[in-house]
Amino acid sequence: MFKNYFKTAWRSLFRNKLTTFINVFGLGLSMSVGLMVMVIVQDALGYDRFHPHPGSTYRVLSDYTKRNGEHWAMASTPLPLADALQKDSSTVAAVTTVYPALGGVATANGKELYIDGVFVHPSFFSIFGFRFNEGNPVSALQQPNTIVMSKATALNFFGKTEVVGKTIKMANGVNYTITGVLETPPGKSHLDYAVYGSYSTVAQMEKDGLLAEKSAAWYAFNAAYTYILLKPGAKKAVLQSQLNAIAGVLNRGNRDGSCALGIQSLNKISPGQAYLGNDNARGTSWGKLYFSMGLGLLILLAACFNYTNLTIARGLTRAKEVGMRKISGARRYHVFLQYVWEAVLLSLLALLFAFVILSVILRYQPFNDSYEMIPASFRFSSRFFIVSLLYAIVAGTIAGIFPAWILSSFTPLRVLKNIGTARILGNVSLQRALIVFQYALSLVFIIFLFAFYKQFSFLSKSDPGFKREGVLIVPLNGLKEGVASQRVASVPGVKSVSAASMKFSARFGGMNDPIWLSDRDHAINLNYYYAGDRFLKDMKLAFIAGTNFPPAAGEDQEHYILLNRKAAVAYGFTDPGKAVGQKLWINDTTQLEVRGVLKDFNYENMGKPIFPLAIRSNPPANRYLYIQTAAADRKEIASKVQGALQVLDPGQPVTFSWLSEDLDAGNSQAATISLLGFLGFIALSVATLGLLGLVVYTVEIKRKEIGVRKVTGASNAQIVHVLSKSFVKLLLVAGLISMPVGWVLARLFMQNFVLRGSFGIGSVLLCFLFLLAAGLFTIVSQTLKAAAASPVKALRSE
Amino acid sequence: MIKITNLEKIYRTEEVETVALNDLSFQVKEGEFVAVMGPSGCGKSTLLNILGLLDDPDAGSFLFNGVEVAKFNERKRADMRKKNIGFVFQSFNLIDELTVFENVELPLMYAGVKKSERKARVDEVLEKVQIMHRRNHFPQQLSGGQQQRVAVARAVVNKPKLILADEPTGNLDSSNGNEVMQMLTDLNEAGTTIVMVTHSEHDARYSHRIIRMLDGHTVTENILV
Repeated sequence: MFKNYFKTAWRSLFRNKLTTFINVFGLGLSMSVGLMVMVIVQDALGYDRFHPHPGSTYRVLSDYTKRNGEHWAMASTPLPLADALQKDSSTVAAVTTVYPALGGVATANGKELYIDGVFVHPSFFSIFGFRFNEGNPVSALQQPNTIVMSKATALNFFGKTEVVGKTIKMANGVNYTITGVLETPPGKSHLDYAVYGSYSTVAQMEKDGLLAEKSAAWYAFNAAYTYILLKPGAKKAVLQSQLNAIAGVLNRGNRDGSCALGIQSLNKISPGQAYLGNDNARGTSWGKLYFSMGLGLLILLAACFNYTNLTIARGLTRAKEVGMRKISGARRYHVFLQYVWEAVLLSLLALLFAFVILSVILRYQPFNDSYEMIPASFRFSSRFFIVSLLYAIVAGTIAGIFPAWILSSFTPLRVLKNIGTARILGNVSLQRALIVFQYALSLVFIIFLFAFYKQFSFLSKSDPGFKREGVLIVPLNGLKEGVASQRVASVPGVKSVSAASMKFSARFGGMNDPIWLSDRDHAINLNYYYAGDRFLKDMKLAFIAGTNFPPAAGEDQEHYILLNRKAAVAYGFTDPGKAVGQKLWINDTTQLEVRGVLKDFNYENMGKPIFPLAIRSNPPANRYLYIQTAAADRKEIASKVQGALQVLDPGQPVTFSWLSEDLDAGNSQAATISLLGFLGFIALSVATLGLLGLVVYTVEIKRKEIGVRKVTGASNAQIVHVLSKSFVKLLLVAGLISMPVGWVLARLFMQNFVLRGSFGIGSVLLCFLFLLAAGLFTIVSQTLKAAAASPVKALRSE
Repeated sequence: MIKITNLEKIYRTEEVETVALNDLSFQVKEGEFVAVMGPSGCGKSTLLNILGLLDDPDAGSFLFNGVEVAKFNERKRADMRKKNIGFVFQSFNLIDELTVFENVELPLMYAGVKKSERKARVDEVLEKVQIMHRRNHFPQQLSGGQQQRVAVARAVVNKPKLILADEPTGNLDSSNGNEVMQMLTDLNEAGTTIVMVTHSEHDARYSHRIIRMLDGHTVTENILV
């Protein structure tokens, strides 16, 4: 029987190639979104799977309620907690703190790189499944000033992994001996740092004033993270009561509020929970996952609905088959199962198409930029295939149930008498409403997308307030600025060379520290960069008061600081001239004189408001060369600059980028536009296929009417008009609903930007015309075909 | 085999009431070949639908093999139909997606007959209607006469006691028509009861008895044999 279902379904799909194509295309597109969601979900659920004791490893959570009712749920805990827990050896096998206080600029092997790091207890490597490429996991972090680094970090600094015994120096002057190098982990982990320093270093650093004194601070709930490995057979409840006891002691000594401590299983950490503060979970959050799943489901249901519509419309032509099957002895469930199976088969074909789309997306990563929408590390697995298969079967079943129910309800008599089958969908008001809904949704999508595109292309082309054309940026990667500048300056076509500590991009890439005028309590957390006088000149940054750094500023000692206008205002100088000559404290011992105030410029994403900014001068901190080039062949200049620098460090590849391209890429949101465009395309395709289904159905039931009209003298154009006008009305209704909604949404979106592109009624109308054209094409293609058909056949078949 | 008494069937719409069968009574004995004739709208097809248990009468009695089936529900009618009745239609009604073999196999499959037996029985009946050489073709690849032979094969494969034929030669030329009529005659001679609705006096002459209908009831009965 099953074989018969398969054969009939397969031949029917093959015979009706256009319908099959429409269905496979529509369902496949929607299913590709579903597969993308599955990739995202699989990635999000794939964190921390390689650690050795997933069932007995926990992160301690804290919960603090102030007396005034303010409440925080946090993933972080005070530093002393780990040692306190370690004392109870009956339940706890191992405890470690993860104290994220080790990050910053580090120097090793003559290279300076920014790294993120944490201090951990030696037991860290017995709790988590990181394996050592070099060194001994048991002894690696026993001593102060020892450090274990990731394989990637070792390669970045040294170009090799055999680096145990070598030294790395952090920006605060502390030296660490490398005692281990990790292997690349076999999977993702929410704990993923460049370096892991020994926790025993912390005490000395606190003594030296290099770290705030927190190691004994029981009420610093946001200081660090605590992880526990339970002993085999130990009960969670016992651990919880131990934590309750600790919280009880803390609460007795605290008048400000009360705390509670809880535990969270290691495999529940990622995806993160929105309510949890200080969460160190990685990847996406449950909220975003649910949103993605909801969106995928919505799109899939819309496509399933189209399949339903088209199949019922086609069902009119298959009524005879149903009748004959029933006369031959088929029960209703036989026919029902046959049609459900047909939908499932089609859904499996659509799955193949969806896999093709997904493979293209995974290969070319069109939706990824600095944020990985689709995890690049994803690899197809047998589990993924099985889940996809189940997904296709469920989707096919959902799509097939309703038409199967309708078609299997045909009685042989009804079919043989050729009555009653025509209007199986009643007056199709539900279908019409859904078409309006689908089209309205697509149009809102299209309008929003258009606004999004216009806004970001406007931003990417706007003047940021500094020179953006013809500027080549080359990272120094440990090369000496002076030598590198000299070599580059001699390249033909290079007009000037300067350097700075950062690269202009959509996200602020500089530093941020408290800097104050006279009262430390009123310090402002100021963004700042390092750059020299030549950089300011070359980049055409305009002064509104004071002057540039003197040449060679900061080479011996740092004396001066420049502010942007916002920063001057933030320090209370609405007249920027008055800021000049003022002295700002950058730490407890050093003051810098404000030498000039710059006109505000967009130093990060153009859409963001400009925040206070300072520019300091410290040549060793410069990490990028800014090369001003003449308007010549860009490729040639870039390759000559590369060649000039390559000889200085032949082992290190010289990379470069053009400032204007960086800014375009950073501001144009190409990846987001691609994703929205793809979703918009799916929404429009699904709506169009839905409309097509309804038109096909209507033409089918009006075949006789068309025939009669033709034999009574109607022209093709008149018939097309009669058949099409009700559908065009649907499109107009959809337009009337969605144009104002889309326009309001677009305006609300643009409110988020200080600089706004133009987006008026004309743009909205343009979107509508586009949608109308797509709809009209769909309608007319079918109605014209019906009008051109010979009336004889239609009338005879009646 | 069939005994109908005072059978009535009325089709109603909001404004019009059409009497399709009006106080109709007759019998068909086992092994008989009966032709039903009459002008369009006289109730022939309605009668055939009721005899085929595709429709139920509004009043009257319908005994099939001594069992009152007039008030059977759809499920019981379908069961009775499956076991006892084969249909042959004017427009063949073959399933386009199935081959000749698969079309004929269909009733056996729904009856739960095992695969090996199905094959044997389908082959046997295809042989009988001389369409064996086309067993793997699709209906669209056959001539009208060949399609009707397949339809007859499908109607008889389940060895029904009764075959109901609705204008079986209506879409065929005279030579193919005669072939199909000869096949029905052969089946009848082998013991199958046949009730055939036809407009053709020529075809009707293959039967034992002609029932002529007008306005929903019988007007004459001609016994030919």
